[in-house]
Amino acid sequence: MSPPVTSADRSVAPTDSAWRRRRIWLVPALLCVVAGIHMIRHFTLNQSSWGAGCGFGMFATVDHHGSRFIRCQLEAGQRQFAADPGDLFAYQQLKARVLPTRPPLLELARNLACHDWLLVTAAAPGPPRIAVPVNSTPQPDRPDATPLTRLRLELCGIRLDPHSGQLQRFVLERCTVAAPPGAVLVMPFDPAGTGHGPPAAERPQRVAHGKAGGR
Amino acid sequence: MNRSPALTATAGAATVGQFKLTDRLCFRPLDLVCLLTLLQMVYLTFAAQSVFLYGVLLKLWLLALVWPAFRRSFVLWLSIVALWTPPLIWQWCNHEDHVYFSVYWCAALALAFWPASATTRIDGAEAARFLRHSARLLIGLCFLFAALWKLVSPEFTSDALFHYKLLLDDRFSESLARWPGGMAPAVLLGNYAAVESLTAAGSTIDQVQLVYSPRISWLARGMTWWTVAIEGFLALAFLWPVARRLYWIRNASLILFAVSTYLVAPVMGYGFTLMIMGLANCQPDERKTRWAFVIALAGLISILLFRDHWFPADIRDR
Repeated sequence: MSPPVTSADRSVAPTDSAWRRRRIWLVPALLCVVAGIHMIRHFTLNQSSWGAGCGFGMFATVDHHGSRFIRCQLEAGQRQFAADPGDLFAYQQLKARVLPTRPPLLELARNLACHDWLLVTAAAPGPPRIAVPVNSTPQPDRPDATPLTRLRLELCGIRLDPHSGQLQRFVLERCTVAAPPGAVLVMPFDPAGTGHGPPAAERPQRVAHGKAGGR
Repeated sequence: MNRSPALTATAGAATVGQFKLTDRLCFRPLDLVCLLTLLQMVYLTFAAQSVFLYGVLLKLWLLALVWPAFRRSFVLWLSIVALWTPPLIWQWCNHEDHVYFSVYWCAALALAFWPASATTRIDGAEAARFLRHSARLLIGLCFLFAALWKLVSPEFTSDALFHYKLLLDDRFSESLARWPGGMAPAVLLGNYAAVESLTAAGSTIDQVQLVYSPRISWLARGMTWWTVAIEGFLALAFLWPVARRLYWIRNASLILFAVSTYLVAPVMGYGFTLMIMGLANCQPDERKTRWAFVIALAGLISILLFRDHWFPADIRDR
């Protein structure tokens, strides 16, 4: 008959052979925990189901960070302008697209609002003029610079109806922040009165922060 | 018991310093698994554009190539896990599922080569057994989660995902939408332009109409249910304990999955890891199956290298 197990016996570390048997479950258990957390965050926080993190939801949803996009709008005085942040704060943009909650979008909006912007002729379809970020010296002294008042961000996803072929955008999260003093939107003088800014070729270089991601 | 010479207890560590040619050539299955995994990690660091990690892992791979005991050392695999863990935690957004999956596999290798004590040699047979078991569980769980995600996603079960992919993902539109999907290049380019007008900065459009042929819908439906079927089957085959004589079904279905998936969507990080794990999952006497995995791996590498020459470039270069 084996002796009764005392609390002292239980406190003894497992034997080496027991550890060698049990260690086989360590990595699979870790995989399940991480994938489970990812799944919960997808259903509660809209976290991208695949392509970032490790939930194993590869090719499961149309809406993921690779198909999400950000719409940005600037307010200078009483006027509103569409803006294209490009790769500015790329990692924060990626974070906001992967986890479309308010905090990462607000952080991105605050950083974008600190920048100076320049109105240029749009190359892509949409409005004729679009604001792009400037990374050069502060612009407030320019006569054509107008103080920025607000910046608005909309994080959008898309959904496809396979029966009708309609591809629709929907808003996942939006936020508006006040621009700090000193941030300006430069609207270059337009002698021809075309309403267009400098052509795309004359756009200033953009600053890239971090690395863009997504499959 | 008829045990493969590759899995005998003193392999690797016991031969350090004896300059045995067989060890140097690293054709033993366990060594092959280690070297291919290391090469895969070098590829992942290259793909992740991590210059520091790339340099370190390339040196580790070269060292492991010439030093058999090193490739079977706990320290090597623990170091790789330790090098990769901080980016996976602090920059988790930047890394895709297959990077995590590969690091899990490296962690399994580290545990396989965990020494019983500081003075004990690594038991090659036990390490191989451990890796067989780990590979089986990891492959099974990966496909279990993959199949679950797809079954609970209405966008997947309604075929929307594969409609979207076939029409708007270069990889699918190049290889499948034109033939057998029957889409003219001009129509495909029109769909791309429609999406760009929806997502362009400053756009005020809320929806666009995509154009596609009925064959795309049939194709999307077929791909949807093929994906659920093969992934669900793989999860079941690898997680359910089956008789030894049925092991070939596991291996054959894994290779079938790799061929049917990565020929279309070359997510090579996954493909390489799955083939290496398939190789590790082989029994000592499954020599032909091991060759099948090596050939499948070579096929994936050739897809990676030559795929751009197989399909017309007008969609890709739009």
